[in-house]
Amino acid sequence: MKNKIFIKVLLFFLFFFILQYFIGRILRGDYNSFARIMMQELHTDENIEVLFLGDSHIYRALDTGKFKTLTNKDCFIAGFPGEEIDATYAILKEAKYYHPEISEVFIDIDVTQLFNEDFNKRTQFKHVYACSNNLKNPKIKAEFLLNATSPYYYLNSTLEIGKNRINPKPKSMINTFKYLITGKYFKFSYPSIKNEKFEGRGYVSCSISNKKIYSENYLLQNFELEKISKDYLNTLDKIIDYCLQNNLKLTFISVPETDYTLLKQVTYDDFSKYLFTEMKEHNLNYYDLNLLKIEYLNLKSTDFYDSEHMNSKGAEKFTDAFCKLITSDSKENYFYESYEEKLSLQPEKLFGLDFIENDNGKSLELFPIGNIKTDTQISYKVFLLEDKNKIELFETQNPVIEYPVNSKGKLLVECYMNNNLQGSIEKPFYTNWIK
Amino acid sequence: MDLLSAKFLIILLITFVAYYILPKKIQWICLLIASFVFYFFTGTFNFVFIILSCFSTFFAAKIVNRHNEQFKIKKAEGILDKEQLKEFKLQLRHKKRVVLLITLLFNFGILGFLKYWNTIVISINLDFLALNHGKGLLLPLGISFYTFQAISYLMDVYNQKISDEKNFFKYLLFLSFFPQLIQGPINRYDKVGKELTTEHNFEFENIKHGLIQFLFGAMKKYAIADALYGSISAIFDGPHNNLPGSVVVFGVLLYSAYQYADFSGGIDMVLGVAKLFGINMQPNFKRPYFSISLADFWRRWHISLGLWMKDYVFYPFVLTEGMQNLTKKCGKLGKHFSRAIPAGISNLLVFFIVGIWHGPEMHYVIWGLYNGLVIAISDLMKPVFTKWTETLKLNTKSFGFKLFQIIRTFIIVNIGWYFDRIYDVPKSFDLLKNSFFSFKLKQFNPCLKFLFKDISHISSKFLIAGVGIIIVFISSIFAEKNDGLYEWYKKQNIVIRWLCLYLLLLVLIISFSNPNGNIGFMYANY
Repeated sequence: MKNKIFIKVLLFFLFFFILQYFIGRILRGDYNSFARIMMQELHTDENIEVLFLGDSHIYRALDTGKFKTLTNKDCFIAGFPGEEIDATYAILKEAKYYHPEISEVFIDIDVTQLFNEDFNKRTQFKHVYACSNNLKNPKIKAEFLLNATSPYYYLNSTLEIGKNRINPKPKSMINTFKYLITGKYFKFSYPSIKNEKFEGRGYVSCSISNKKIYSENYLLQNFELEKISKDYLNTLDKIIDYCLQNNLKLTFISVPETDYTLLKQVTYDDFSKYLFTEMKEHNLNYYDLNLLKIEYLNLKSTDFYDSEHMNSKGAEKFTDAFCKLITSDSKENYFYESYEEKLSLQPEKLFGLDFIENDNGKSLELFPIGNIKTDTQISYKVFLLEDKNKIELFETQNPVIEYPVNSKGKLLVECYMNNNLQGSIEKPFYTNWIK
Repeated sequence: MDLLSAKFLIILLITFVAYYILPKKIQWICLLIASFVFYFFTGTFNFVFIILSCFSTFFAAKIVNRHNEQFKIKKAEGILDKEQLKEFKLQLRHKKRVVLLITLLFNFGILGFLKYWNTIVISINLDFLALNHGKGLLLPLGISFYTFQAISYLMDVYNQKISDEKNFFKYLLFLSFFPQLIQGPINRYDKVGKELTTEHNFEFENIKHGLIQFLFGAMKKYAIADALYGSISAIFDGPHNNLPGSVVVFGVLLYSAYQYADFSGGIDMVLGVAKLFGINMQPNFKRPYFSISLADFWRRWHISLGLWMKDYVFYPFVLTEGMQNLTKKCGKLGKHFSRAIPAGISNLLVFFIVGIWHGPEMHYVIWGLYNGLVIAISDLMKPVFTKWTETLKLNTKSFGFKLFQIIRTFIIVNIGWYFDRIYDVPKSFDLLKNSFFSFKLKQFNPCLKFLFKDISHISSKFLIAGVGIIIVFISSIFAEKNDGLYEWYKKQNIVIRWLCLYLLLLVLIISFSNPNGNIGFMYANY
């Protein structure tokens, strides 16, 4: 009798593990996941001499084909969206395991990641499982998962259905099922996305050119060095040690972002200097490519497709400048001393218009982000967009704009600097809740 | 301590193993130690109050029982005549009443002080007397539930329904049994108290039943309740006092699901844990949204509180001299009114107490009185409703009529939730008005986008909660037809049984992939 119960319990859990695995795979919705396809290519491509690691900034910035042409070295960009430093370390080890020929590593440091929460405080694990799902070496995978979350989430890591990739759209689930059944899932082809192309070796080009000013919820990132994540620094140390032990030439870089993004990182220069000093103490190179002189790299907003990522035009310019830099003997001549210096040498310009909704959604407060001198006059013209009509409401210098009361729709706000139109933003609003 | 936390599961596992390995005579001691350990982890401050409550009611019951025994002895002796016996009985009753009153005042006094002191002093402009800078005082874990439980024990001894427990520690176990501390149910000593100290053999059926009930409860709590919590707060807790009725109704329906899933889910987990030890606790829910009237609803929702109120408030109040005189006077209006009017007044009192038990805020009082009033009026109007159905020749036993009653009751209950959930009373009336007179379906989408800001994050929570709600709805139908869900489950073949369990496990684990944070149990705050 006891044996019967024991066998029943065993079979129950066995069937459960099998069932949850299949359901989890369908719910995963990763048939068009970039991380999956990139990692597959990492495992199957031949001859990688130079490895680039980082998140989406790097794999959109470096044209791997052009890199090969200019440096005569085969490179690979093992980066995926949201990749954090522990995933970078795991992928580095995985790449070296399957490609012992790798001799040089460039790691992109994204300033914002230094202030991410410590690993055991994470509650969102999309990037964790995007990485672990595609690691083949079981030892590297286990080590990564054990450190990536607190023990409370080990069950999530073990069970397929516990992984944070549930995609509620029925279309996505049906597509995943179709891809699995037809075998297309195992062909690892990058999905055809409008304006994007997987060029190979981890590089994704985008043909969209940003022509508008940027606009997001206003949030200045005031980095305090004391608040840098200890887990991040510990993992950096591990990476440095690993490269030393495996004779890998290691260089840290920061891939260029838009001036809009950099200006919102209030103490960017403090940060950049901190990284430079720290790396120098470890006899490592760090190139903040945001400080490249304009004569070497002159990126405009049209070289980006959003506030952080380059398009194919930007990638071409960047790859060119980067290759010249790494093959140059006098690298220090390529850089400004600080971002402040770089900005002072540029003409006055508005890069973005951020906002905060105040007073429970009754008004909009605007924050112009740009290279703006103190005596510059900033004014706004406010329009109501109704169906296809544009109704002018008022003109003001006050950055706080009251929404029309008991209404819903869209406001168009044009921003002027010394009466010159810099750009405009559209903002939907809803104030019908006001009594 | 969360019921699905590593700490609790470790305590449970150790207790479970010890319970069945150690000699049966000390099983109850094992549970007592586990309860102490559980309480220790929730804060040693909590101990003081439960010990006070235990001591006071234990010794009060001892005294009361002694008086009861004295009367029985005197009567058996046959020495006193009828008049002397009556006199003696009156003397003893007086003594018993003094003990009862002091103990009631002491226990309810502590509860009332912790719950209501700040509200009272602030409302009469004596802010300087407020504690904790006027903010709410942290209530000891389970104080409402074990206070009610202790009082029910004392009242049952007083009414000679049971005799007192001789062993202080066995009585302490009855009050402090760890699963029930967070949110009840409110157990009775003659049932659960005895079971706790009875020897139990290891029965695999109990383990199965307990685990399945725990799993079902966990699915309700984490996949439904926790997933909906944030959305409900986004709708009702902002300053938006003129939301379109469509959004408000949506919010109230979400709250309806959330409250049931949170409370009944927690209770299922508690009952499941108790079942692992072979202990059958008082069920607290019986498919309340299938009720055919509001009175029926309160026989299916928070059953243990309803029974407590019936036995220790409603009936004692109805039997008071004043109410008996009223009954006689109402007799002139007919038999129906002689019953219904005193019952209606008693119901108002009961629901007033239920309201303020939830909290001293006005919206709870209104919610309680709303329920009492609807039940009272329904009872009074019963002959009228009966006449209507006869005139309209409605088949009151048909499925259609029952469905009508269920939907009608659901609407009535949900109107009550407006006052329960919307803390600002004028706002609750405004939003109730909008629900009927300003529905504005076209504003539903834009308003939700405004309130929720990030829709993508919400949609997966709604999907999980939706699947959970469908599971609960279907299982409720099976349970209703089989007098219990586990009864229906036992009748199925192994494939169906295992698929049901797999479904619960899958939904529960998937819900963890969208963390909601540690929200806690709603009724733990009462």
